[in-house]
Amino acid sequence: MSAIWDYYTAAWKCLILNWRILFLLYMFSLGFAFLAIGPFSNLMDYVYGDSLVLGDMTSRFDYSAIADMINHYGDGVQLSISTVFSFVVIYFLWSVFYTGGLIELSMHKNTRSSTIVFWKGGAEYFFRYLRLSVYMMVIVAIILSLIFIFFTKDGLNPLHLKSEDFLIFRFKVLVIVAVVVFFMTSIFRDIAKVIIRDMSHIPFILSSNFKALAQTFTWRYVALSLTNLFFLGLVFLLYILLKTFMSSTWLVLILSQIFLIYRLAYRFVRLASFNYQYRAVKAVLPLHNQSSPDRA
Amino acid sequence: MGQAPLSPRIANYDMEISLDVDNKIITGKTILLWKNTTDVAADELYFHLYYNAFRNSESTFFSERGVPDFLTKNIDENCGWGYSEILKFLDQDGQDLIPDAKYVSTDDNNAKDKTVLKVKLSSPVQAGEYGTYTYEWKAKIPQTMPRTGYNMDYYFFAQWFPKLGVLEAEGMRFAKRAQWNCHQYHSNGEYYSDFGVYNVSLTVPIDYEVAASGELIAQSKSDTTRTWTFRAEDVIDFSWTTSPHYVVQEAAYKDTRIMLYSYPEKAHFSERYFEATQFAMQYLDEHLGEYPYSTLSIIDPPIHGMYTGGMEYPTLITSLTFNSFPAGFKTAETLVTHEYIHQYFMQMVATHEVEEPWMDEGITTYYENRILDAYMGTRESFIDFAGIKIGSKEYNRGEFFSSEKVSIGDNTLKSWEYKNGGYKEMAYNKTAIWLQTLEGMVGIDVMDKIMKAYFQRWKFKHPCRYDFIDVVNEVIAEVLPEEYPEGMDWYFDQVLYGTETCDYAISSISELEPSVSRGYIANTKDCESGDAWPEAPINTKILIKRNDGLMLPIEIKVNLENGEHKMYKWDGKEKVHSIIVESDSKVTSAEIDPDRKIHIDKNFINNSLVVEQNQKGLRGYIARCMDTLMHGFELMTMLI
Repeated sequence: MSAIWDYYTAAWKCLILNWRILFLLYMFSLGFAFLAIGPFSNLMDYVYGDSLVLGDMTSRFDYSAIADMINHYGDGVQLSISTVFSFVVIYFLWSVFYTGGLIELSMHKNTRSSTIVFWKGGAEYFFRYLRLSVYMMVIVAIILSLIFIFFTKDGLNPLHLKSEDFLIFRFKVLVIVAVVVFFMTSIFRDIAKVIIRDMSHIPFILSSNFKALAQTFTWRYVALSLTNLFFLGLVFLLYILLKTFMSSTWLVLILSQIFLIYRLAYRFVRLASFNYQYRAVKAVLPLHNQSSPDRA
Repeated sequence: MGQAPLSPRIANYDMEISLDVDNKIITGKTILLWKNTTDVAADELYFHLYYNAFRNSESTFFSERGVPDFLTKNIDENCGWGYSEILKFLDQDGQDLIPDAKYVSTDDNNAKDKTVLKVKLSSPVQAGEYGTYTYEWKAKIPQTMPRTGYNMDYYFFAQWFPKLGVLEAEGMRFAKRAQWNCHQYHSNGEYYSDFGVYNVSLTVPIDYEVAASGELIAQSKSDTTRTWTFRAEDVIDFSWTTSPHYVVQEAAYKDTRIMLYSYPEKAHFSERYFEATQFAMQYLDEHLGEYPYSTLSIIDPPIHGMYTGGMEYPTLITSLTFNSFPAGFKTAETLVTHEYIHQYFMQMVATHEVEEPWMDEGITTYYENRILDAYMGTRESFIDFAGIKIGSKEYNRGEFFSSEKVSIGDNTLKSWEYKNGGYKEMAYNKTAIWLQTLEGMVGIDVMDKIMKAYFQRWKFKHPCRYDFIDVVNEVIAEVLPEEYPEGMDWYFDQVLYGTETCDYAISSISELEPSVSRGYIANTKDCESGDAWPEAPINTKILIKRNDGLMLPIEIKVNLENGEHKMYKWDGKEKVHSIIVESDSKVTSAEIDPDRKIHIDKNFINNSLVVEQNQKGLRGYIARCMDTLMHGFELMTMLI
């Protein structure tokens, strides 16, 4: 157990030393959101900017104001939604890119690395992580489809249902199953991220990839994943708790952004701790020593 | 029971009904006691045979609605179709009139529709006289159709027995002479019947619970069956339901027993049902008049009987709840309130739902919005879930204006004349919106006076739209003669008979140049331009536009920099109207209809205009959206 804690804290140490990367990730996220929200912001300005309705709109959920906007400025709403979806795709590609950067950064344990390490890692591993992400999307789609098929196996026609309670029960069970499956999938995904960083050639045959994963998997990854999730949950609860005491919108906003930064940090810490666990067990490739030439 | 008649009691039914659950058949023997209230002799009777709407796909009902899949798939194994047949129809002399009876198509010339049966009488019923007829009939129960039918061991019977049409006397509603009013069974709209007394004995399997219109007056049982006898007085219809699974719970409002029949898995909704119903009962009791019946039964159908939910019958209403819905979805409260209001509008004030659906559904929706907003708050009476709060009134307005059928027709269309859709929008939504607007214009006290007068004058009668308009004009003439010297016909011409929409907008606010003296001021040598008048007021011109055709008097509120405001009125008729505001303080904003009285205005956003934008509020809102988006980005990429 102490080894797991060591990996976890080592990951945090690495992150703290490389806080600038975290700042960079945050700024990118902010930038993408800023660009994505642009048309919506303009639309809001155009629709509500000169109207007293703005007061109601910004202070609570105003159904009439929203309905009127959709009815009378529907094209603008459509454009805003399309833009946001475009940036979802861009953000997805960016997240694939920065995963490589984060993995590479984590290789430099106890080191304050140059941002070049991050960019290099991102560029170098982009396509292999992109491929992994596509696989993951397919796997997620398959899991969701299976869950849906299971949920609807007796049909959803209300005329054929004796009671909806068994559907609700089935739904609850499937949610639990889904959580467990996605939890395990995310572990295998992150192990895969760590493994494929080292591979010069990734076999295209999926079965061999799964074999490599299976050989690498130990229950320590589960414990490590639970540790990461535990602290994420803890911070989330703290965030919710603090939020309830705050009356100022701007303070809530700042708190939410702090939580977002924590979520970005969580990404790094999880990947880095998996990386350390992997290398400790397999010793496939040694971590760079502290006098890394990449040091800034 | 046995109280002094509240209604004319024109069509009275004694029925003995037997339910065969194995073959899905009901057999009935009916004794009809009918009074001819016209001044001419009646030599024929018209009957609704509603269940023939489910006889086959050729019926008017299905040609309007479309045939559901379950009636076409595996039809050989499981025939879900139904029918209704009168086997024997005996007059007072014991003569069977069925051989000469024939099906007629009163509305659409659909010869294949068998939902109206004309029975030629061998001896006419004279004006003012009673006729007594005994008929035996049977019906195959359809698998759950809209409103009626069976599914598994759940049965709901609505529009289920051969029922007499209405012989309208000359001058009644639109009748220019005495005439039968008996429409075919259409996809939309059901009610128009004479008041009467129903004594109904229902024989069902012994383990089945029964809920029905009226009051249970007797019960008897054999080895395998139980007979439940109900009596409903001064009602226009009778419906019932049976199932072995009903759990019965009871509450009360004054002397009325409120009974809830639900399946065990939904019994926990009782508190929500009872509280909402009691609130609605008290509200209408205070605003319109008392509910005169001793019972009110609420049926919450099982999920396989959901097509029978959300319906109204005399002293019996159906709602619909789902265990999978969060409590913030106020389905239970909304439906039970809506259907209860129908006890007033269509049951007591017995309008013609097929010919004038707005008088039934529209007025009910108007009161539904009022009651629910009063009960649960104007901002959350429809949905209060995950930060999304929507009031009943605002949902109704949003639903209407989101539709593409806002101007599809006027409110006088009959239910089957909405051939391209729009029935719900016109009958329910639009009517409620223009009644809400009328309330805004005349004030809620006057509106209450109108509605109370309408209810009190027309309860247990059959009014038409002219009668409603007459009441409005009478009350307005009495209490608001100066505001509306010509009455309110101009209003009904637009909202009831017209299809125009309403949109007023503040177009611009511009400060005029200060008044300056020009010309020969000091002497006549020089023509000059003087200084601005000291203490001259600031003149601001506010331009208001009427974008659409509907014209209503509106109020304009002008807000000033010093915190004060000025109110202006405009009859709303010109296309463009300007107001010059004279004030010592600058105008900061102007707003049309600040109290949202004109509910029918389709765009509230352009109702106001500010001189300087409140960028701070907007920035805060956008920042919150950005924050949500950033979290969304992260969430989305968590899985990959």
